[in-house]
Amino acid sequence: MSDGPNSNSRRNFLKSSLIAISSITLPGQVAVAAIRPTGTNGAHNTGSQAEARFFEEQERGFLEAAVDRLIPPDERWPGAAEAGVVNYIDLQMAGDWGKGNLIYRHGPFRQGSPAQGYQLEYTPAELFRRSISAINRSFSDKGTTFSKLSDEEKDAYLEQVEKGEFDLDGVPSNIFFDFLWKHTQEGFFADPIYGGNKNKVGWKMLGFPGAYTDFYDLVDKHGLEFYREPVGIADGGMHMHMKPAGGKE
Amino acid sequence: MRRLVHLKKFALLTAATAAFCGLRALTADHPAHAAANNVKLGAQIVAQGTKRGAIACARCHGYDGAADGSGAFPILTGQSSYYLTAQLNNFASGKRQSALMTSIARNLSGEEIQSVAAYYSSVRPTLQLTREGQADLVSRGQSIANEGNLQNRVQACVSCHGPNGTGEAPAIPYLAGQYRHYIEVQLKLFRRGFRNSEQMGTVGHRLTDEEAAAVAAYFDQLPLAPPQPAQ
Amino acid sequence: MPQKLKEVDVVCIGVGFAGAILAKEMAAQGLTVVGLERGGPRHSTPDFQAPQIHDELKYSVRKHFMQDVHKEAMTFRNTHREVALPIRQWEAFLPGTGLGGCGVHWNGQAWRYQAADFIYKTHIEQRYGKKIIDPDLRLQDWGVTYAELEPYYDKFEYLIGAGGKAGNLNGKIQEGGNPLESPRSREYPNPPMKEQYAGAIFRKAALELGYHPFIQPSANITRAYTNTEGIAMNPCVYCGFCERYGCEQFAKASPQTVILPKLRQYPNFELRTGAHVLRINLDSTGKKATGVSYMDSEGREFEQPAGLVLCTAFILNNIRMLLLSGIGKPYDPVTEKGVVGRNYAYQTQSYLPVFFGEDIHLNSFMAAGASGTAIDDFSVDNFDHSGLGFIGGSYIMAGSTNARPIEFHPTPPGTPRWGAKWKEAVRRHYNHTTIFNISGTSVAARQNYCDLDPTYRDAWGMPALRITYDFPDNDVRMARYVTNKASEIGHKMGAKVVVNEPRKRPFAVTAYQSTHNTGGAVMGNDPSTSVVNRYLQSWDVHNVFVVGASAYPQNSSYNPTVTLGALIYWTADALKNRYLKNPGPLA
Repeated sequence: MSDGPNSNSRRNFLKSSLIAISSITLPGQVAVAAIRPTGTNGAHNTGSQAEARFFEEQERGFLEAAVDRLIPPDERWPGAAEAGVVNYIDLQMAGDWGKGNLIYRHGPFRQGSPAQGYQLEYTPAELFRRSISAINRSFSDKGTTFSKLSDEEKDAYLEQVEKGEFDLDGVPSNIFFDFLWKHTQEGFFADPIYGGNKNKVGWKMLGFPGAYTDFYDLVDKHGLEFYREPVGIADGGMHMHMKPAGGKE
Repeated sequence: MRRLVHLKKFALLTAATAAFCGLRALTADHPAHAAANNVKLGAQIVAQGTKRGAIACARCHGYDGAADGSGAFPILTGQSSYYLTAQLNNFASGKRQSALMTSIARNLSGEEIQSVAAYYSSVRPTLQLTREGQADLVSRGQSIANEGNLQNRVQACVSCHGPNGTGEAPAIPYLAGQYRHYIEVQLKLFRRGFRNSEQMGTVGHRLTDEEAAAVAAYFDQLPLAPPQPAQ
Repeated sequence: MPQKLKEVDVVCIGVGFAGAILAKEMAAQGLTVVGLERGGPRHSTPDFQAPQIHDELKYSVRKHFMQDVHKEAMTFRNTHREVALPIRQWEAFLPGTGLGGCGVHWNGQAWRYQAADFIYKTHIEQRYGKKIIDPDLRLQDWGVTYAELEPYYDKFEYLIGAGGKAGNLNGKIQEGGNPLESPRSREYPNPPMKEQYAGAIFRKAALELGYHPFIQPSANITRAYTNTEGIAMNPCVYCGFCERYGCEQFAKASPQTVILPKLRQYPNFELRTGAHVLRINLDSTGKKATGVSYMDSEGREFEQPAGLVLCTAFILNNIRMLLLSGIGKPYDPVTEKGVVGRNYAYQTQSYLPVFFGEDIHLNSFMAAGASGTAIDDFSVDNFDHSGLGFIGGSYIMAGSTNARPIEFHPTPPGTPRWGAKWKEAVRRHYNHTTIFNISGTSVAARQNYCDLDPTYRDAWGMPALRITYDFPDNDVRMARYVTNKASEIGHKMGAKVVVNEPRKRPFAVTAYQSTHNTGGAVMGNDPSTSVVNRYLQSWDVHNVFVVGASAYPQNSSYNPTVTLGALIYWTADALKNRYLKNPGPLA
């Protein structure tokens, strides 16, 4: 049976999770919007290639090379590396998401069916670190690195990773690949406040307008060839305002 | 109080870069050289009026669109040409009412409307001036502009009018650097239905006169919105 | 020791649409009402304001408005032969949390159900005979009819300012609306949404094929509107950030925009956020609730005594609340005894990607949550199923609710999953592709149910809810049939490529499908097959009402929210006119 409701373990669990101050609201008052005590999703308001937060140099080395094969540069459009995708992933791994604060992390951990989704005991950050370390080791054992391969060799290697041909220190490589690919797409297309999609290159490539989107006048202009320079959340940077309260407090 | 920030050389950009404000298809039939003609024709009408008796726009709006600073006439400088075209059409049709503009707009052909819109859209200001506003009012206006107002259910102005009120091309005009008197009057006109807009009608109703003055003061003291990026 | 608070007349567990509307209805009767919401407070401003609300990573990918899965997860398995494992991240369905509940982050697609839905068992058996029904299916009548609910549908639609065109006014078919809808007594309060380009192309093709297209009814307000509670709402601007997001324009119907400002005016109503209800407390007889116990966000426990308990949480949490509180007998799929957790169903959702040439500029990012042009010709039982070998159906809808790039960047079949060719295909197809929404009935089956997990617990030490579910074969056959019809329309629209991949087994929790979970605490006239009576009152504990889509014995083709709105007002009337005057079983 469960612990008593005031047991220390439960209190400690609650306090160690992201709990904001509860609010009892009297009628007629607007409740104080609770502010999350820790950062949200690693958002930060600079567009710069930030100093490293989580990844070490060799891990970054692998990632820069890998993401640039997943979304390569071409004549017209930059690839994932230039778009700052690795910076994005780095910030994510250093924040709540990477730490596993947005995932249910209680055991027991068992392997399930594909329909049951992710069941490994690793946080996203742990998963990245384990997998990349294992990959880097496999190359350094042969006296080389992933980034030294030719493009074709890199692609061939990544396909093997994608197919699950390797065990990356406990992580089936296809699970790592799926994580890496998902984060790469996020880093390419998310608002630049998260450190990727540099110069909104992902949005420009698609013709996506960004965060300012009032289309009342245009939605029914069928066939309109519409292009507008995309505008992001931080583009009105002149003013400061409170972070919006979430729904979880 | 006016504060001279810096002086810019008068520059008329070619239409191929500035005229369309991101909306190709509305003028999709016009290749670049025809677009340049648009601005040239627009400049002519602005300076001289039309044969059919439309008065020269510059008489009230100035050659650079900055008008006389009183706020009786809006700043048109660098405004979205799509938006300016729509307003002239609305004056002509009666959807927007104005003692002065209705007959002028009705005396302009469709091509002439597009031309003067293209002209003012392409113009850059001669002088870059910013105006100061009363601190309390500006601060209150900044809050409403960026966060809205829960009590009277008003959304943040910037959610539609763009970052710092610099507009959302092509349909939503900039407010940054617009004359505060003009903004205040427009809000009243929206409230009373002399200007017709689903969104602005409700905003006009919800904002109190004091709040309208506050947002107007806030936008007034911002630097004039930069022109919409060229295609 | 838990602190015992002063007794109130009514406590609401969860302050979403159901909790907020019922709280207001009860407060207006002069009762003392406490609304307990375990999430945080949030308001249209500043919490939903743009541009910061238009953050796809935060709200769509990281699910900011959803239940904190770090603290509390549900477990899932396809069949009872497997071990259920935690759903460690929300993907397939997204239970919300916070003041306003799902009403904040829904799309606002504002459908009514069909008259046949409420008497589904009777209707299907009469029309086709019992043989058409697969032996594992458990069809049930609701215990209330469409005709009884019609005035309450009307009431909810005028509360939320629904926009649409009536297709059937008191039996007379109207031009411009859905001719296949069940009769309504008056027009929508607001006109229909604007039609997108994809919807217009769909409309033309659908007409050519002999179908009856119309614009989807919407709770994204289509013009300035003051609702029945005197609250002013603004028109939607088609911003493309509707589902998962709060509305910055005060244009999406949610408790914040339609009822909370009124509710907050009552001095006899108190809102407590951060209040996590642990259980409904019963007296020694087990037949009467004495109130609830809840924990605040600092881990302090309170006992809130109340004369009437309204369980108004999300459907899955309603089921769990009953199980944790020992109200009603838990369902056993082997013996088929018991009722709590029984008749759990979903929405059989298929998607049909339709790729056009680069001359068709769809601008799908110009979208409202309820944008769309639909046909109802293949929904529910709107067509003759004789000889088809399945029951149920789907509506087919074209248009878009968004084109947010992290989650929407379709590529045609044969495109590599990543790399240069993938990138080029994404760029090429982004603005020239639409994805039909094919939303189907979900029939209840013996083997699909909810109970408490034996192993996994939440942060408060309580057993997680366990969901045992897979698509019944009937629904897979139905999905294939309707998706084929949709595919024909796609080709008729002049598409270059149509991807015909209807929903198949197994149900997986790994990618988004729908948050239209239903059932588990179903309503009915027979206590051996229902948890609540036709007034949503617990058969076992008469001062507990369970108001949510948990009441649905099976799910129709349509989004469940407006039907829930009707049931909310239906229950409110039963409370006001009968229960409060004479507390006791109403059926």
